[in-house]
Amino acid sequence: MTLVENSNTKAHEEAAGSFQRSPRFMNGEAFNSTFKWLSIGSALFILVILGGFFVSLTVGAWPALSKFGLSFIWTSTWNPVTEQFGALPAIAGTLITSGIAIIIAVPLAFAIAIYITQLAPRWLRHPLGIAIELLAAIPSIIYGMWGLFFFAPIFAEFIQAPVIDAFENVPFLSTIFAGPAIGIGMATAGIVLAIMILPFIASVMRDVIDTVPKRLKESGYAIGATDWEVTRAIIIPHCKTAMTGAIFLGLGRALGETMAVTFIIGNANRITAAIFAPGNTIASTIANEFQEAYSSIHSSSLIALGLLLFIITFIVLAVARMMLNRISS
Amino acid sequence: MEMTMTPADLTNIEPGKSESANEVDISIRDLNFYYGNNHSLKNINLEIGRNETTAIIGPSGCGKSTLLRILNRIYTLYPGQEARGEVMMDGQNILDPKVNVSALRARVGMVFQSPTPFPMSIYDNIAYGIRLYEKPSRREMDARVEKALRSAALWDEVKDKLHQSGQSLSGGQQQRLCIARTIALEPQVLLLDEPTSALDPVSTSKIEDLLDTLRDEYTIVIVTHNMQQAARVSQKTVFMYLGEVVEVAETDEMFLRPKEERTKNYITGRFG
Repeated sequence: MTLVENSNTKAHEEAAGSFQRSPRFMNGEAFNSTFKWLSIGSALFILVILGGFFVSLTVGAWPALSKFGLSFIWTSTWNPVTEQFGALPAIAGTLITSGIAIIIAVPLAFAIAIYITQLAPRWLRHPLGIAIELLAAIPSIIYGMWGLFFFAPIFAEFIQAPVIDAFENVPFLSTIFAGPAIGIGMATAGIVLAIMILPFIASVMRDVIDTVPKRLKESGYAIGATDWEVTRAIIIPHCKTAMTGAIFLGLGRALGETMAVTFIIGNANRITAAIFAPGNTIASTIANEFQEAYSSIHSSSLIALGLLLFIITFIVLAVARMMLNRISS
Repeated sequence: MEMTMTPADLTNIEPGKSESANEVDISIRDLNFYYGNNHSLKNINLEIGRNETTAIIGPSGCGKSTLLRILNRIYTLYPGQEARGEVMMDGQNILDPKVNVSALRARVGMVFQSPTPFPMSIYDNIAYGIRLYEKPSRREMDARVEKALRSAALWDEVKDKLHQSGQSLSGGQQQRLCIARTIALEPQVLLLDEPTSALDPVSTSKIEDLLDTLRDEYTIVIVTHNMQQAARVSQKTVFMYLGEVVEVAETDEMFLRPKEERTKNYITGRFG
């Protein structure tokens, strides 16, 4: 007891005597600045890694990019034997599957988010929110397996075959809804991707909707608007930008998804308007071929594909972030 | 809208001299309010006069906003909140579950503490509410919007930018836009929940002037923590404390000669 008192008085005397020295027992300032530099260093490390990825991908892709030039992007040949490589089918497959996924997932995610935030009874909101987050945590390979073994056969029998028959004689639609009814292909990949990104988009949208000020919603109700009218006229316009951001986040995920897609897309390197036909994405091409890439130009072309995917997803996610940040201002 | 006075009657009333000659618009009897287990309003009995301004004052947490939020039943948005008793308006108990809340809220408008313009243009901020109830022609709608903005003393400031976002206006203008949006529905009662607490003094005095002109046409109930404001804008003042109505009096009377000790302590700044 006396010891403590003594040290206290001593500290006070010293502090009173001079402001030059810290009165602390341990050197707090030294620790503080070490901590500060450690955390700055860690943060910079992230930027170094990001830059490093870009540089090493560019270096690895350089042989392919210098041989094929920009035409790498719009050439559709991918032939390891003749060593001719073009990314167009993979790019097209990536965009088509992600497009299908977004078209299916966005309205559902939106409806889920509106239900959880506006309509569900209070006791149900939290458990539902948690269920959605758990759904987002399922590893993608499980979605892939489920898609291949369970969903694809059902899809082939009950959806593909009837849809192909139904549109057989309709111009345009008969070209879109065509392909072998074997369950795997771009449509299947798109649907499984939709299921994968759905919980993710829904939970971000839910967070966005929760940021709408309570008083703003109340003023909608105060002029006699109903739940739907408040949602339509106030909540949606208020969150428009951030909701688009949520969609882009989901798109970023769909574009880069590898395992699930590789299982079910059928892995055929061709471009077709038929959505039931097998196809390829950038990620599935890389996953399928990197082990067999014996020639250096082949592996360099795969790295060039990787660089393309890196750039596309980087831009999509950057746009998503910008849109989501607008909500806080 | 039932109006018991003809326009001719209205012109006979001198503004500011409408001493309790007015009839009762809202009559509250044995009103109790529960927030879960918290009994937050206790046996409120109160009469609110037609076409006059009633100010509700009292320290934070005394239940003044709660009382206001019962009058348009906005509290029903939140589960666990319950009002028991009678709030009579035109012979109907508005707490009756059979009362349609949209119909009620079209007649009992509300303006909130901070301005809450809808995320749409100035024009649509007004037109949106009207469209919920009516389908006027384009020209009629223009006239209704203009009339509401004029009544809220905002028309001259916004007439050249009606299609800009309502959220681009200054705080004071936004609050007048919210008042315009409310009166565009031609309500009978106007509820204001500390409408100037987020505004600067100049905007505040504009809103207070506006309230003075609106009193001729609307029954106004304003909750305020600012006693000078209560004295400036209201004819009748209600002092609430710990969920009870302590004293109701003509505003001048209340601030000059409060009858209750607690009222006196509050308005002389001894607590609050």
